Amino acid sequence: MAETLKILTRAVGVQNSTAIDTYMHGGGYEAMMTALHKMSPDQVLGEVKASNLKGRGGAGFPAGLKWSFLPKKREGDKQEPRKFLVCNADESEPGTFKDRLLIENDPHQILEGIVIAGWATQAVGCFFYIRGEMPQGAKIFQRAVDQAYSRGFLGKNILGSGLDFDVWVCRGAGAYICGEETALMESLEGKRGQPRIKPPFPAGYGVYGVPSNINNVETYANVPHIIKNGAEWFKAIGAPSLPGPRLYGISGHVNRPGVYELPSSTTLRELIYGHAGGILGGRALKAVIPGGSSTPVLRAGQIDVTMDVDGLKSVGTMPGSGGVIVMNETVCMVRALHNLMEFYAHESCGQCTPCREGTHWLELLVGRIEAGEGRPGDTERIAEIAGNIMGRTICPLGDAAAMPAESFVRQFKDEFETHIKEKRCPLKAAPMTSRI
Amino acid sequence: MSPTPASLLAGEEFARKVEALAAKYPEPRTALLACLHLCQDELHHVPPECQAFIAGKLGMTPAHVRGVVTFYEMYSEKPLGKHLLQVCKTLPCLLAGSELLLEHLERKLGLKPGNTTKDGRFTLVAVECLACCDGGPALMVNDVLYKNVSPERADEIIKELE
Repeated sequence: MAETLKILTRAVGVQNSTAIDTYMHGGGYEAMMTALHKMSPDQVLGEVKASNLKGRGGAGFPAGLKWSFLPKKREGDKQEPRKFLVCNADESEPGTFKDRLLIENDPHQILEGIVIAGWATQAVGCFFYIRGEMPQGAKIFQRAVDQAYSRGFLGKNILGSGLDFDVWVCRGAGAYICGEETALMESLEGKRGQPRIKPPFPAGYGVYGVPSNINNVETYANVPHIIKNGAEWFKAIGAPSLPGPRLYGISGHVNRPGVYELPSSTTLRELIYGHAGGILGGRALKAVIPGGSSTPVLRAGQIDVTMDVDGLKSVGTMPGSGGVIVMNETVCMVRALHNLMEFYAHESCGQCTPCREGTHWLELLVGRIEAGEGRPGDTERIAEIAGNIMGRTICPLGDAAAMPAESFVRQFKDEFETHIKEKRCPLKAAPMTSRI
Repeated sequence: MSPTPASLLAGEEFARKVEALAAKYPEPRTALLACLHLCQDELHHVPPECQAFIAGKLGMTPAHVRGVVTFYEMYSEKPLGKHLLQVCKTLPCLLAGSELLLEHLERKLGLKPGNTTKDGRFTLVAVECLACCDGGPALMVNDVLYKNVSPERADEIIKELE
């Protein structure tokens, strides 16, 4: 079994870990000093590009490449074009709780990554958008920001580098959709969180129409380590299609749920049966959602794959946000899918017809099957509706609802058909394993 | 005594706080969500007169502000109870037993989710994922998150509030 890593999570369990002195005592902000004093912005950008750091929010887009899309000062320009960074701390994908751990235990690690990214991109500041239901996290992060200002790590002419850089903490207010990059930017502008049509992409038209770059909390947290140890060191961790340390949050029916920092070359089986201590109640494993609720579900026999892009792709799914949801044999898959469809129907912003209508039809159809009122052809109908949402909406929320719908009925077709044929839920009589 | 919309708007403090938030960000409009949180925290809802007040301070129309208030789950136009009990109902918490917790609280408070006790002390809601999936069932009481909440633990938490 692969050992858990202590790179991103090294502060977890350390006393007073959120204080700037604690962070600096462990070598914190040294990478920022190296970047600002010894490296040009292009050198920093080059190192992050070479590391092949992939976005940790779910889409997995290479971070360095994303940074390079921002406009640069051209010959003859008096100054850098105005640019913003955004840190997406709107963690709300069901099954995902890793960013909370980083924010609450080691805010300076994230902040250091943000300032280094600010140097690389020559941005004027960063909006830290944290979900409204994390008031403690917002307080902890604001305190970290205040401490960084008092040490001269934020503000005007940081450490004599010439970089002026601010950080603004903003709270969301309970809308999953605001985790989508352009909805988040709308929200930062004091609007309803409805995604924008792309193009233009944020790198050209972001917050207030100013070119902006957005990354996830965990993505920024990786940056100081890349600058400190180098791209080669980073690439040597995990499988090539997903290099570097990765936070896997495991929940549901396992004995030891929690966040585990592991190389992506770890298999799902090692995570579930090794680190997380196996299945709750000594029951048999039934299903696993590998990367947050929107990633296609796996059957028990499909967990001998590594948790990188290639490994999960080989079984038709993806790493997503690293949120692994485990279900044992007591779980009704129709009910589980109904719960997820309720979520997406509730969180659809209503802007695009396929998503607004489709998520509700999926919720109704799956709900009636669970209630014993399913009709022959309903599983095909679910697949058809999912297919009609997929790729036909402004933002990925539609896809995020379609992928579990399609995969649940494909992977567990017999169970859905039994519900329809017997006009009842065969698992309802026995209680589902509970933790309380 | 808790403030009323009229007393909140009559005092200088609320206006001062709203102005400070408007000055905190590169553009005042970014402060809207924070201003609405401020009002929600003080009054347990965001009534039309406060929406209009904030709109005026940030240079927006009241209609725009109302659109925002009604979009985001954490703002309410009707008064919520003094204590807001939010039970996470999404899959990872469901797998941990959130239904048992919710049923227990419904019975204890005599409420269906989405409602407030007659004395105005408690509002019970079932909410989507709170990003605390390893600590399910999760219960958020006002600003505080509780993990692994059994019905017995919920009773203790409520007792501590009284």
